[in-house]
Amino acid sequence: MAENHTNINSDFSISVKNLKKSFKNNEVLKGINFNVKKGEVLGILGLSGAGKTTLLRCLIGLETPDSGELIINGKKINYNNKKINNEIGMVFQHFNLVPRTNVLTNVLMGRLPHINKNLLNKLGTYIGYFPKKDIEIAIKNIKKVGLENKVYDKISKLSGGQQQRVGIARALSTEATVLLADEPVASLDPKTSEEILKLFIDISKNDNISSIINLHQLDYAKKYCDRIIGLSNGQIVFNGSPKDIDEKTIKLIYGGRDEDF
Amino acid sequence: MVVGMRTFKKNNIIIIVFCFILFLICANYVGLSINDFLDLPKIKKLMRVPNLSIIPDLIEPTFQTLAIAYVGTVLGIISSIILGILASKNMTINKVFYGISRIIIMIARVIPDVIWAFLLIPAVGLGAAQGIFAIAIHSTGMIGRFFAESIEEIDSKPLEALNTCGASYIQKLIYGVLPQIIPSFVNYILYALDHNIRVVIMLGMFGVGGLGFQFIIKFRVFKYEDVFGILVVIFLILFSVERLSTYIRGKVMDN
Repeated sequence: MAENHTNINSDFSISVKNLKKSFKNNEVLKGINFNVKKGEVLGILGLSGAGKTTLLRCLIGLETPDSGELIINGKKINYNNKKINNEIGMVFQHFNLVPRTNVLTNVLMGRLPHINKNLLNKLGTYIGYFPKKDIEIAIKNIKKVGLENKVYDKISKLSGGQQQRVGIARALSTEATVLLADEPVASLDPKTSEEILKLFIDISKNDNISSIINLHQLDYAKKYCDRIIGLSNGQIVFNGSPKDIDEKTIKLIYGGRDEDF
Repeated sequence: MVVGMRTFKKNNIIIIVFCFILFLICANYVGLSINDFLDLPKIKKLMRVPNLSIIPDLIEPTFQTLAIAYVGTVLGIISSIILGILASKNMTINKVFYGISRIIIMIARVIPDVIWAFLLIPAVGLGAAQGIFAIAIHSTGMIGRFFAESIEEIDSKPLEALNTCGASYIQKLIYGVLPQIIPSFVNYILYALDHNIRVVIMLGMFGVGGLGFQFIIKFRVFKYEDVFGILVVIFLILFSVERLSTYIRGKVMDN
């Protein structure tokens, strides 16, 4: 990845400047600007279609933005090559685990950015070999998410909440300094949702990881996030502390529709 | 007043009637008559008590048939995996590889295995190699297409997660695609093996050797007791292969 090593705004782990993205004629992100401080938990609120998912996908490199600047830990990221950004890890709404494999194998996938730096180790993965050190880190993260008794269990045997724990352990194993979570609890029941969200945020705080979480539920965002960004129609309409969210900002974010919260 | 409702659509009735008329036209065209049906019981004229004493002589041809089928199927599977990946929209390398592998699979499939056996004579002559390549090529066409289709049907979300972990192309194949397609792959592989054993038995009559060859020589000299002895062996082979397939399928599904 071509990186410019001049340090810019090194207080922030992420700086997004004037990020734009269109799909055909549909402008999904219309110039997004925000910063995330080190260790900060940023919640993104917005209706479906507001551009929340596209924004996270642009940050990690699953989509290429049309224009704009992304600075991670002081390094400017070049969007023109389609490489994935290894300083960021991601947790998905549908967990995106590989079926028919076990917990450990899924979490070990998070070690690939480090394993692939060594050609021999990379070739080793082609025959199912993973270095001992990486297995230890994976198991450490499995313990962190509370699945130490399920290391060799098949994914299909786990509940939704447990599957998302695996997803979190996988993202942690990348040892990224920034974690993105795209609606991480949207496919879970309310009780499990809060458990998983709390786990994710506790670990982020503990390990001083900056995180950006797309959320559907306003009350969770208010309760767990340090700061909230409201996205509407591809534009930031609110950026501030959870305390400052009032009726007016809610109307701004959700466009007067109140069935979503 | 209760009014009856027509539940069959008019078009469907027309299609069924059309198919039936086409059947009558075709049967008439090839000269099939009612008498042919009445003659069917004459099949029993050929019936003999199987001569089981020839079974020791059939051991070698049986192994020959099974070995040809196995080697041909393995070769076919190897090329099917490579071509299947290249011929799948989601995992192909680029459009050129995609197009070429699609064309190879299509040609291999549309030409029947028996015809491949004839086409191969100038290259490898008569014998085991002829049978091996004939079924390997035809399996490539059949199984390669199935493989490509099952790769296209996988869930892309795990692959997206592997992308965010910086997985290489081969790592995505091994850790993202393979776990998802194993059940259907095993299914197609077992189907191919079963199919190829039948084909090799048949190819035995066209120079490949093995059980089919024994069958045709006994038939030509009217040794029907021996012919039925061979049929018993064929039945046992195919029955065991089917049991084995069911067992393996069950094991794979359990995992």
